[in-house]
Amino acid sequence: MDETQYIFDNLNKTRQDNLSLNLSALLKLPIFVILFGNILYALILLLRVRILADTFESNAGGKIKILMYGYLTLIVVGSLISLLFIVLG
Amino acid sequence: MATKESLSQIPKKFKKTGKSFLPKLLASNNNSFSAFPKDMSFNGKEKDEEVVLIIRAHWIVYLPQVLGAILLMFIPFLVYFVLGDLFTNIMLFIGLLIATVLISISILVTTFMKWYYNVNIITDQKVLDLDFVNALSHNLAEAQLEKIEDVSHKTLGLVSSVFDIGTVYIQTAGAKAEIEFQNIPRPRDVQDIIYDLLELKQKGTI
Repeated sequence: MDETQYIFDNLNKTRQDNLSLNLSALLKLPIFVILFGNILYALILLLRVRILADTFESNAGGKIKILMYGYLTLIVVGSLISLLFIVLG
Repeated sequence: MATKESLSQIPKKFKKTGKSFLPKLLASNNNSFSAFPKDMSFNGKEKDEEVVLIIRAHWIVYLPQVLGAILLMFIPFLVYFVLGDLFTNIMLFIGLLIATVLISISILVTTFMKWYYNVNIITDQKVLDLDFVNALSHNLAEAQLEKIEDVSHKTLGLVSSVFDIGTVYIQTAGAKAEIEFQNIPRPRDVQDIIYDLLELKQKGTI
């Protein structure tokens, strides 16, 4: 009888914990996919900009290339840090 | 108003023409509307070819994308407040925050590249339209000045009226699709400049 009462008392709590766990797990997978997609996109963008830099050359071309390499580095490093937090989370 | 310094930028062959487009070219030069730029080149540029004008789309066209990228950075906070009771894992929150910031940076960099490489070039021999469509494709259309049959422009909407932006259509001979300079500042001036260059070319002055 006491055991039944205990289950009824904690019924609401147990449900909330399960839901919280599921939501975290549900969020992780799409974020992994988005981060991987973002790295791939940054790579493709860099290649496109390299082609366009040959098509249209200006005195700012060097700065644009530096910006693109900096952007790619930031995306890769940032994605790894983000993945680390998500895995630990 | 053209200054003494800006007048010195004009190549000799244009100075003698006395055409009305010269003062228009030199008035309020900036990165979206740059007359006689130095140290620039493009694929297929001839040695004696002079770049008259470089035009990019007005910055206001890219404002929605910039605002969207900034708003995206606030999504983790929105998720945190909406699902506050369930979303208690701080590590996951930081991970999500970094991810959204990285995506926002990607949108901002793409927007900048679109602005920078969506470039329209007018030279004394031809017009070029370089379009950065997306990360996977770009278009480059060019037409010799002699082949141009008609130039028109269209401005539409409140934003176009406020910022004086519009699209210039350049119709060329043959079945080739027309060249479009989309959302550029001062479309009337650009139309006038192309017509004047066309006239000079027909006369053999340039």
